[in-house]
Amino acid sequence: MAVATRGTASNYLQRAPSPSGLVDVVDLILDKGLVIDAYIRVSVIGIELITIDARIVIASVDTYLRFAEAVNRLDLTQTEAAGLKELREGGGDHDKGKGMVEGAKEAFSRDDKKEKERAGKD
Amino acid sequence: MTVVYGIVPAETPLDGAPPGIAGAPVGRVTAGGLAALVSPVEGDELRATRRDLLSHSAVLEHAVAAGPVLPLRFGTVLRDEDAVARELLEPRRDELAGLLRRFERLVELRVKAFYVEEEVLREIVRSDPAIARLRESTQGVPGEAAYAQRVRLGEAVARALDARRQRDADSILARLQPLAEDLVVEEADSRLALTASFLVDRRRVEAFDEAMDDLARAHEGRITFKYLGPLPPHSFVSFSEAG
Repeated sequence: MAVATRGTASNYLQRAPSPSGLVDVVDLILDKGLVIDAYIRVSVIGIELITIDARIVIASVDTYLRFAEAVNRLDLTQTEAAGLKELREGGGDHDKGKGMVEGAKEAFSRDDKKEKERAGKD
Repeated sequence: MTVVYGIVPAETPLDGAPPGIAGAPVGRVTAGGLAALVSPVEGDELRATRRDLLSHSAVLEHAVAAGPVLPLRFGTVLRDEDAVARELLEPRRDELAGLLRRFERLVELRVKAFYVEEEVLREIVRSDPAIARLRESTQGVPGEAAYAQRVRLGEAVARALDARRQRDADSILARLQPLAEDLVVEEADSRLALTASFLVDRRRVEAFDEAMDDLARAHEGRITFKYLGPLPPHSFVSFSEAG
């Protein structure tokens, strides 16, 4: 590792020297990097599923309704400081915001589990 | 069959490399001053499982700590080690050597800026009277009754969020771009202010770290940054740029 993780004053900066989660790895190695001539690239099973899971396509009206609902739920009287405290403690919508990433990870885990089961039978 | 992870200069040490796909030990095939990082794999198809994707990545991350590495896309497999030398390293020697020189001191740093949605929506409602009015008129009204208004509210919020995202992305890029040789900004969904990869000289990584600290402090409470690297230049290598 060339650079050690530096301490940071902020809880809002996550630093990692290398990808730790599957979403990061998928971003980096499935459709980036050098491509050698197609004839020596084997079929990689499972890619279709993964790209669909990892990239979120949201129909516009559903998005609008979701935003409307989120805005209607907001507590505007909440002071900024209280809002931050709640977020630091992992409450509120912060967790929901992570939903899609976690969702994709779960999809992978399931896939991986199946793979393990399959390998176990061999 | 032989999986290829990446290409490094032949003199790059391989000590302590993590295991490759399916736990196979990673070795190298050398030719013409280049080394391909490889491991054996059974059968003629790869499954993109969590474990194997992470292994592929781990091999490359380990290599980049020792020097330049050209990352290959996941799933590059040749018949055997001999084919790696004859069909990959030898015919493409000049291109690969040229790319290794070009990326000799450059690494990829990857930044994702996630909105703390509740806080950003609060900013939007507070700063846009039309949205605040629509919000009041739909609050407490049962679902179907205010459907059209709720769609209008959501649409206005989505537009406001787009404008805010553009502004936030511009201000983040203004801080980071001067430290990078190149950058790629990616399309992202509405929860992110920015997804971008930066090509940075290893000697400037520390300055980039400081810039990230500054940004995290400046946006504390409204944006959470995820910052990865130094990585091999995944987002920047391609043969077309070799010349």
